[in-house]
Amino acid sequence: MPADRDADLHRRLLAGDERALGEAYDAYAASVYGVARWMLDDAGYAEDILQDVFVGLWQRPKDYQPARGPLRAWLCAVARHRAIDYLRRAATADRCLRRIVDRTAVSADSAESVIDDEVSKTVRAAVCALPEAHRAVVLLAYYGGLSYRQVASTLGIPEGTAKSRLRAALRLLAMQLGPELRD
Amino acid sequence: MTVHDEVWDCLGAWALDACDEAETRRVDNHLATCVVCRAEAARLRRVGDLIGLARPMAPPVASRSLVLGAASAQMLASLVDSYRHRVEGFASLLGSLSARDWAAPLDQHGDVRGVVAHLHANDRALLAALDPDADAGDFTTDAGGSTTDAAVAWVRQARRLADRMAAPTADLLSRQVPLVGRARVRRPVVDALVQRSFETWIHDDDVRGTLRLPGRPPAPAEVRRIVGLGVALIPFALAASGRSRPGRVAHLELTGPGGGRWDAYLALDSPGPEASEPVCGIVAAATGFCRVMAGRLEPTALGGVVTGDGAAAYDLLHAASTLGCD
Repeated sequence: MPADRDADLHRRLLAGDERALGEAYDAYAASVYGVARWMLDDAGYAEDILQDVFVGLWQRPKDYQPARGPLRAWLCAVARHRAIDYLRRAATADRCLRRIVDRTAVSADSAESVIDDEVSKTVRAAVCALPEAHRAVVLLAYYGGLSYRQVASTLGIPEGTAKSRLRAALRLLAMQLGPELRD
Repeated sequence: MTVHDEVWDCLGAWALDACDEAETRRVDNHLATCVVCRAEAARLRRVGDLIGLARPMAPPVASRSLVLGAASAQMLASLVDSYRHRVEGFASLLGSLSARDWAAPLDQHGDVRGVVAHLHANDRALLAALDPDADAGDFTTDAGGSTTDAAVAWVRQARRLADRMAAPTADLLSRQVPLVGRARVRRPVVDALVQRSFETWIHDDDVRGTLRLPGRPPAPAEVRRIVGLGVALIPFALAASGRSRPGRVAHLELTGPGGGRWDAYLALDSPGPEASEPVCGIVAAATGFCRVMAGRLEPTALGGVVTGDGAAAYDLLHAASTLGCD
């Protein structure tokens, strides 16, 4: 059970057990790296983010609270925030954004993901099953780190529409991903 | 439109950090008072966080060792600080002792000079394991010298050990060295440094106890490290006493400063599928468990609560009590 495993890893990280860090890395590094690599053109910086995320987990395991959700999702959220910080500073931000826009139509069985598991497939299928207009706003906000106003400007839609599509898209995903949310 | 309605509309953007600062503050303030929005916000945030799981990619192979190496180096730096703090505290105590204090009888190692000589020898063993060719130098605690010389010799060597650990190479971090104690187990240098801090604390406490001075208990993080080392060594101690339980695990729930939960393997082999159910549980004070490890507290005097197989708990605590450095 992922929730049990996360609680066990968290407990051992709090106790300073280095093996727990190795196990967390083996289980979740691909997801964390996937977020950073998907958001950034710079593979080297994506690797830096990956390392920062796991060293941060080691130094401050209390930052993660198991009751709030799966460890993997939390680590990915930390990686995403680091990547957004980078995008907001980087000269390549526009290029990254264009890449994300281009990819919003990507199919569920894309060959981009070099490794996979059931949870990843389920989440990707749910994202790909969103109506295209909803998928675009979600991916721009998530991977591009854009505000809903920037999403609206990028897609040429009213701000209120971008905002309501974000909420509608997440609610659709919540219905699709019910079992994953319970983990 | 009410504030509630405005916030409700924003929750999707808020869950993806796609609101501006003023809107985020407005949502956060409303969530503090509105149960309905708070539940929806938590649900959408969890969904938003899941999106990142959609595209895993194999990271560069070298990243794993870089992450674990950085964690080891960071842990070692923290251990060195903790060890230095412990050493300087004991050095300060030794510097304040009268001739009569130095001669006060102690249960272990005779008197304070005996304790210092013993600690000096155990520290020397680690230094020698790290640098087999290094000159032992003039750090001696010979009985013929003055007590001041003995204290100076010990503290100089301890500082040298800390300095050596403070400048680790990749080779140093990966090296296995023998620990002090009955089992003579070889462990990574970080464990050896935890053991040095542990032993220095215990002897500091021995002297303070004899002289009726207030103790200097270890910081919670130090207690956690000592317990972690003890838990890692219990399989060896059980094997030495012929009390291993292959494939079984005991659950420790230690309380107070440095407390936490640990699963202790009861044999040197990997635990089997049945290990998901601990054979026994022990709830007790974390510092008390450390004193049991040091041989300063009888297992039967630890107190606390044992559940499950009492014999397994008894064997574990007796194995733990052999992990001291005397």
